[in-house]
Amino acid sequence: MSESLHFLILQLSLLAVVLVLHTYIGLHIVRRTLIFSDLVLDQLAALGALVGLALGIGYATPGSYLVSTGMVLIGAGLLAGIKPTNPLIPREAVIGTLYAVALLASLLVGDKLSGGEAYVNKTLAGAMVWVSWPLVAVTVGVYAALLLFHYAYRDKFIALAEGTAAKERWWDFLLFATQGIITILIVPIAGVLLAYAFLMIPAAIAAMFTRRWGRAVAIGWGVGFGACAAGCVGSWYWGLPYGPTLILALGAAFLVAMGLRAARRERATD
Amino acid sequence: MKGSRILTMLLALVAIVAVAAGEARPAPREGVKLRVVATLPDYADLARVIGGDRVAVEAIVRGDQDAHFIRPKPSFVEMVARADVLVTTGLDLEMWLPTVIDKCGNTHVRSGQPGYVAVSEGINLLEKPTKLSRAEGGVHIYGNPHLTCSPVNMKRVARNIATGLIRNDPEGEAYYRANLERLLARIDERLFGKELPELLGAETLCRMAHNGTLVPFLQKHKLKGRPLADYAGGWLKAMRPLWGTALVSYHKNWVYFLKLFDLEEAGTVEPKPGISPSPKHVSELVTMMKERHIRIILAANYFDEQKIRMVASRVGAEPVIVPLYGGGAPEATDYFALVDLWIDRLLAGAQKAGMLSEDEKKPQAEAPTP
Repeated sequence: MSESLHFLILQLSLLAVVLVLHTYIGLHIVRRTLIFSDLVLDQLAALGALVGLALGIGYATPGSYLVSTGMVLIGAGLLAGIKPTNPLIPREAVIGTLYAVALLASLLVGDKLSGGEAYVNKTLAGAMVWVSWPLVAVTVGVYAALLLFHYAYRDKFIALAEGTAAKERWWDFLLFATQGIITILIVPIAGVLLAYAFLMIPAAIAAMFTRRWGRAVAIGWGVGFGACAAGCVGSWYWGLPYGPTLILALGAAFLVAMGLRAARRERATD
Repeated sequence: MKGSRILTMLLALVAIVAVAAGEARPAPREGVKLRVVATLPDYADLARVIGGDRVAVEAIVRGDQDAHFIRPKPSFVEMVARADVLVTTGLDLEMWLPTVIDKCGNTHVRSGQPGYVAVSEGINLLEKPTKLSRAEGGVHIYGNPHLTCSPVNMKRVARNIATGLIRNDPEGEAYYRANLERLLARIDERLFGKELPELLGAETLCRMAHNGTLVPFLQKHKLKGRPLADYAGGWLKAMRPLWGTALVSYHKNWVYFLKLFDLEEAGTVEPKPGISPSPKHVSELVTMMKERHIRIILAANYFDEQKIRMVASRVGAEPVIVPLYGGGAPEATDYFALVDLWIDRLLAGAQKAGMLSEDEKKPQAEAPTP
């Protein structure tokens, strides 16, 4: 098999799996306008990996994932628990502060590590061009388990998104915790920025066109996968850095979707 | 009118006093050490050897850090503010340094002032760009600034440091010169052994080594029926099994080292300095390495080890990951130990990759007894 074909099959397999769950969870986040919560969890996952390195635990090893799990569970608790009752303090301000603290803590920890700059850079930019089949297999396994969990309790999570859930804080924590678990896997692969793009952009695109959950997941996954596939091919053909090209492709898809949405609105009013 | 004239005179007086205070720094009194701050640990190491008891030396960059990308800290400003001498490459490697100098207010160590030592002075730089454009990646506009990876360059660095110390502490001149001469002699012996400098002269050897013509010359010419290469000692002899070998490096840190020991840099993992490799570049690199049977990837240990090992595993090559600067690994206690480490790891990597014959596998030249 040629190098190019091998690369494409590997990357598209990973993207196909990753985007399903990311789109679904992204829809929850978009509908509840907790836009930066994923950035917090992504950055906490990255911080966990760096703390693991400081403790002598290798990057992207089971031990590293364990430390990151601890970090994102703390983050999930904070995101679920901190809900300002004062209307002058938007919840996004709290989320934004958590992100800033997590990012700066990452820079401080990275400063003390041998080769810290490379690791900090890696947590942000990822290393998706370097994925292997074993890593794809592990990702598929974990994502499948989480999908099953969300499918089993979809009524509870949908009620949460619609503001009608009982025991809101508990289901909030579970949503953020499952979101956190996927960030633990995806951040070492894709980096904070691309992981965030995977979660937000397909969901945001889908939310522009439908409120129905099933249809939204299908639209988000379809457009997201198509954009990423185009980015994958473009990166190969033009020799562009892979992660940034995927983000640009997703961003371009978002702009096109906005244009289509605006055109639809105009036609509807005519 | 009269008032404005007085004000102008006062301002001029203040300016003159400020400039004079910044420039005219008296030589250290007896018992007070010259405070030397170096950007890189290797410059600090040489400054300690040359300066001996007359200097107190600190380095800003740690041995395991990338000198391009240091986040300036308040402690750097404090360090440079107290410095009598600032030793830096003097090119565009330490791009964060001007900010530190500006903030510290120490005019004595600004570029062009007596306390500023640019160690690259007089070194003929390799890889001067013909095209200055950001499309070429993180281009160094004066040439490749990674001087420390060649002991030949470090001789010039040592001379420049000595000049700086003498300028700022003229009373110590004899002391600094004696230490410098001992250091230069030691570098020559560790690099070429004892015989070759006696035959051809150390400066001739250094000039040829810097031009990349030394190894071909030694291989071509004979003396008393033996190839001149047989008279090589030290690091040159140790690297003989790898003379003419092609390898891949992660980033263009190693050009002076490779030229010195007649190694070919067949490619880099980073296609352009500072730019992450694209999938196509990785694929082309892997294909090239397989076609040419390139079995070594050389990288500084502050780069992403996973990427290096991933490329290596795809072509069956050995990753040789070493600190670029002294102190970047426990064994790299000084510059000589650092070069020993590079050579030992390269030879170990070549051995693991099956590149060495049985003869070449025996232990390499030991360091001469002090």
